[in-house]
Amino acid sequence: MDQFWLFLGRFHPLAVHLPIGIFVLLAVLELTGLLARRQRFSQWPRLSDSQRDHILLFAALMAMATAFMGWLLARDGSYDPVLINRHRNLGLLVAALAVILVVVQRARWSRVYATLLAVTLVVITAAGHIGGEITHGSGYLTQQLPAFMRRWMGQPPVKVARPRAIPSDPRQAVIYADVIHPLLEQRCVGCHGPAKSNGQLRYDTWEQMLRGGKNGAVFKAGDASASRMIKRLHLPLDEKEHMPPKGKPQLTDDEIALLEWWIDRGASVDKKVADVEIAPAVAEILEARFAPPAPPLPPRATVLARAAALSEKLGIIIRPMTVEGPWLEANARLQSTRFGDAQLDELAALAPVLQWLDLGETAVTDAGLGHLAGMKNLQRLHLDRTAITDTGLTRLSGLTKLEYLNLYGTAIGDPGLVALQSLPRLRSIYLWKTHATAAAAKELGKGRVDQRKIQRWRDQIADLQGKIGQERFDANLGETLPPPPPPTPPVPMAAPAPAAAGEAPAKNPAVLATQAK
Amino acid sequence: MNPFTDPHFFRAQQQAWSRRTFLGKSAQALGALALGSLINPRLLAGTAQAGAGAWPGILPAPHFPPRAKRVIHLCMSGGPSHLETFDPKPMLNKLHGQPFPESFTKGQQLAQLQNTVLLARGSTYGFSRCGLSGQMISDVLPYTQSIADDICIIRSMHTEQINHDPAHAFMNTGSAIKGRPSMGSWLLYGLGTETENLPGFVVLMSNGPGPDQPVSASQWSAGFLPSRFQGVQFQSKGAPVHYVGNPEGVCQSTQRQVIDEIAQLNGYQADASLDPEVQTRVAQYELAFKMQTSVPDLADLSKEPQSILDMYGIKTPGDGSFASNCLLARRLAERGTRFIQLYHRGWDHHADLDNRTKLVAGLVDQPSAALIKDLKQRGMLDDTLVLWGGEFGRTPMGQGTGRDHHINAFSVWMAGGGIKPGISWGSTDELGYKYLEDGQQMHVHDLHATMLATFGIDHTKLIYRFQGRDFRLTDVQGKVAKGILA
Repeated sequence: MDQFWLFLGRFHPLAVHLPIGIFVLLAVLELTGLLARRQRFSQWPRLSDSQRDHILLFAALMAMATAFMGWLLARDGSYDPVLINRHRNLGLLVAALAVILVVVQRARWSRVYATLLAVTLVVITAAGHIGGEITHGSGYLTQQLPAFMRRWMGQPPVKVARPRAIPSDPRQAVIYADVIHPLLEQRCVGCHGPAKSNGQLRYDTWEQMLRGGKNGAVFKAGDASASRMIKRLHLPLDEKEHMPPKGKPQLTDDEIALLEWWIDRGASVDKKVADVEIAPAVAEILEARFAPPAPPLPPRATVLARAAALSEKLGIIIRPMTVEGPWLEANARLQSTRFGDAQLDELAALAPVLQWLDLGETAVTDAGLGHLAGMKNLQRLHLDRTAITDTGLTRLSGLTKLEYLNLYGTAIGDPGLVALQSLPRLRSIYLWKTHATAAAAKELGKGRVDQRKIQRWRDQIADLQGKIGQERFDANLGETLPPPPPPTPPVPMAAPAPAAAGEAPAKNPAVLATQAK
Repeated sequence: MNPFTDPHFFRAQQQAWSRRTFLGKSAQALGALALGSLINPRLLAGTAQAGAGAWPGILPAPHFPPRAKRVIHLCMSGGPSHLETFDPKPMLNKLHGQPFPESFTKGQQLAQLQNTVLLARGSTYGFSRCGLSGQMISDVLPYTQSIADDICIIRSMHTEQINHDPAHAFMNTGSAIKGRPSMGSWLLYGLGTETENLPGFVVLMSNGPGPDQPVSASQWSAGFLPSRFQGVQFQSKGAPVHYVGNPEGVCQSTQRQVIDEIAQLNGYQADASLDPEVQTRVAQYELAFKMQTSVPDLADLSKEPQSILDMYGIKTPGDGSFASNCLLARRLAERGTRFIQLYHRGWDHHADLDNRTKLVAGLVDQPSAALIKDLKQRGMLDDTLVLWGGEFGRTPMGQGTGRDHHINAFSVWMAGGGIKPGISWGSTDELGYKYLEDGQQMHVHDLHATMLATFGIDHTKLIYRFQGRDFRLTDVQGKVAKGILA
């Protein structure tokens, strides 16, 4: 039965708008009625006493029903007790006022009626506001208030809720304060916080989190897999116990990995990233989270218009990479030496959206490579057979997404390769006909292939292979004796010989070479 | 001129020239022109320049991120035997000289072996495991063995045409019926070219040894696409293009004036007729003018160092050999040509298989491998797709001292351009008779779909409407072999 009452109670946020709407409309009609007494506005609507009787009766019934549902919902107990108390009192007051209004109207005490209606509106506004704060959290309404209005209303400017400056070096970050708490704030505190504490659990402060919920502690320091909060994150989405509930924004795999890492390393409140052991996967996630936000990209249409103009002007090919997004490739090679530093400077207007850039055989020089600094999303760069030197390569250090770099036929040498060490994603580099040595190239490649990552993927493959092996169906009908062997077929190869199965090329290292005849 | 303002270029022309428009044109000439220019303002603007310059491609953008930018197709014309090159079959060797199992061949289409006694014929040459990838490659291709880690060998190729000319047509256009555009034309139509000075689709031919099947020029036809997209055959020997120089007494500036004047006259005609062939003509005049300087530069192999010539095995640069053509192919690729097709005629070994395989392998093996290595050291293999293979395979049954045409199984290899290196894809049964349906089978349509995918093109979306039907390179089939895409 409790469940039914709670089910009914959840209609409160829906039904509550009905009495509010009726009272507001009533007030509006009473005002137009007042004005309609004047000659000028005589056409405006004016309520008769009989209409008033019926509207008020309906409003009173709805107000009582809504208040009852609200009371049922509040019994659930997952809301802030102070706010809910206030809201309940005001709600009951609205219901009472509505009933009194019916009686007063029946008695035709019009002055009392007008006064009481005004009071009711004020109380409804107050009750509604508190109701909103319960659902959306306090301060929700004014959170986005523009600064000039805030000043105008004499309110202090809002401080961006950031307890401490986030250090630029992830290793100096306090794990709980700079990583875990913001994450909980974003994903959990909406329902487990000061406004609403479902399951009597709150994540808004460290003390509250330590206290746990009505089922006890939410985490076990040092053992993520035994922690209740982690278990719930990993439940299937359709499971009732899964958190966050279906329909709410879910935690990403990276976020879950961070939570698990923090709990596994002791769930300390004050330890820094540098104080605990970091798995490479977690290090990558942290790196990404502490990276400064990328500036927003211009919309595709703007980019394409600009690209078309530049392509026409410089006589080079600029094409969008795909049918979506602003990404471009630019090819200046066909302009040969007519394309130089000045033209590259103009092309830099498209810097943030260029992914492939071919400057091979052009007249760009070391100085011109400075224009590449803004091309933060560049993945492929051709500089082959240009006049660049090691000096120019130092200007590429900011191209953190660069994967392919063609330097063939240039005068660069080993010092230039050292300058390229800082490019984290560089995967192929072409150094034919340069002064670079094999040793320097090998040095550049050191650590670029992450063996641990490969091992992780190998483990995952093995894991999936295991799953494939388990996914089967066996029907056992008992043993029967094999039938007598069939007579030898006249053509020896009519049936494929079982030995042939193993002869698939590239799979059986035993077969090294087969010689006919 | 550029892809951003011009995606409906040919649609507009097609609409302007559909049958109904044509019939209505006498009455509605102005209306049709107005419509055409509304859809594409450039149809009326800049008449003298109409159609000149590089075609930007019908696709405003690739459908997904591209990997390849150009193709070099090393077409082994005649049909190399997969059993002597890339598909070792120990079981066939064991069966050598014995009757070929009837269960394989019953009811199957055969070319010249129809109604003869079928005897299994083992592979003439041994195979070795090569490179770190351990791919099996015939010992008759020692240089190809050295690039095993760079190529993806596809052993499950199959086609539908059992004779040379229709099989070539099928390989090039996806249809045995003539009149469809070849793959080079489709690519050019879809993506345009990256050079204004050379054709976007170039064909080179070499042959030898012995009697060779002819290859007809229809193989690089643009079919129903406007003819500016057709392949241009360069001469392999001597100057690639005849009469490219100016005659006595004519200088480049005079030539420029003549071209401009003709272009203007053609522009008037283009305005009046909206015929894409007029624009093709304008484009060809312009291109020919530019080729007066670009072709001698292209063909000047004297700047190539001796080490490169040795790598390809070129005895005399420009001698019309496959080796010389491979070098030219690289130079074309460097200059932005989109599709380069090298035919080598000499693989039709109905007889004397052992000797002739060795002879023709001696001509193509080293240059093919050298091309891969040369592209690689220049950083061009990343965005150049190389396809090596014939129009079909050869029977595992002997035909005297040779092998007959075979459509159920043959091998090709691909390299670069977003294809996974050092892997084998697909396989054939234990006698090399038929591809296995193991999810890695590769029909010619599948090959085309996969090739287009490396360019970021969804093969179902590169379409040209002709005679009331939408046509595409893969007809109504084609499945991208995602497993070989890097």
